[in-house]
Amino acid sequence: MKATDKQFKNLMKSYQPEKAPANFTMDVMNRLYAETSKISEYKPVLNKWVLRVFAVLVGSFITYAMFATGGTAAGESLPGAEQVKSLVSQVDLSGVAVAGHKMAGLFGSLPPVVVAIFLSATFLLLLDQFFLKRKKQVADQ
Amino acid sequence: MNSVTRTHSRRQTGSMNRKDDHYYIEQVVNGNVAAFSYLVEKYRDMVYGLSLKMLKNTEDAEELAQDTFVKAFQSLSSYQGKSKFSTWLYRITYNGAITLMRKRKLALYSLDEQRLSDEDELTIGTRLAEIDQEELAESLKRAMEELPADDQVLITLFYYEDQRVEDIAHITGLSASNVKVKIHRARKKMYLYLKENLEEAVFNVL
Repeated sequence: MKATDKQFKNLMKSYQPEKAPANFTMDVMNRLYAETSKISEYKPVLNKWVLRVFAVLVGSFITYAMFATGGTAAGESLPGAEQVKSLVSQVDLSGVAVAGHKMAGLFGSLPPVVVAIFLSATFLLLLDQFFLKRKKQVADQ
Repeated sequence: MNSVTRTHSRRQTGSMNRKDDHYYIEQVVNGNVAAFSYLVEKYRDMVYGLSLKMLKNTEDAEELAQDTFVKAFQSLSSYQGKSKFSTWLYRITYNGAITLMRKRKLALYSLDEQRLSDEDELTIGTRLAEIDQEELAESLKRAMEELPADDQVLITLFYYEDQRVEDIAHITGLSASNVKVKIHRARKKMYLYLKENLEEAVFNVL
């Protein structure tokens, strides 16, 4: 190192640089804690409205499986309101078992990939809701 | 602790500090957020000082310094330890300041000014070494403030922070030879201001 550099380095030992404000570290750490809690905060994948629409779709699918398959010919339109009412009145415990068979038949007629996606999505949404409920329970305690 | 003692202790424990930095970095990467406060505490003045030198505004400097630490925290897992942690941190600060300065169209680059010979520098340096420490600190501060932002950063990093030319090149994105030339010119300019201050002080005494 040159003499001028050495001399200037020695002079700079007396230099007093600007200091950060006293609460600087605390402010930074507060920001970091806020950032990390934002990351760890659990949010449901779908909001309530999307879930309601999904529930209606699932409900419609199950209703269709229970009342519109097997009893009607392929390609025939859905039964009318009167027909649905009469079918509803006929539902008994044995009907539930029959509906189960019909549903199994319907799932069997769909491509396996579609069935797998549908079931997985339903499972994940249920899991999502379970975590949300658990989070609320923990927060209430 | 005064700046002289602090500088000496920093030099003596240089390698140990580096090990300390890595220890705390590992802690933070493993999920111990509180460990980051050690790094903030250690580098806060330097990061804030660099920000202030470039932005010339205490509020902006504080905001940039905070943003620098938040950014460093968020990308700490990508820090591979190839350069010193301080070099990595100063680079984030410098880039952040450059971005802000471009947005606000603030001047960064210095202009060529009158220069002194090496002999002149040595003479001024000897005279400065004889004056009172407090007075010298004040003179250095005033002379530093007269320098353009980029010169202030280079002078601080090289002569005060003991950063190597290669590290400064990494921080500023300049070539090592360019850094050397700029440091040389910046030092001359600072000596020029110090000389003026010194002459003013003598004139005032007379």
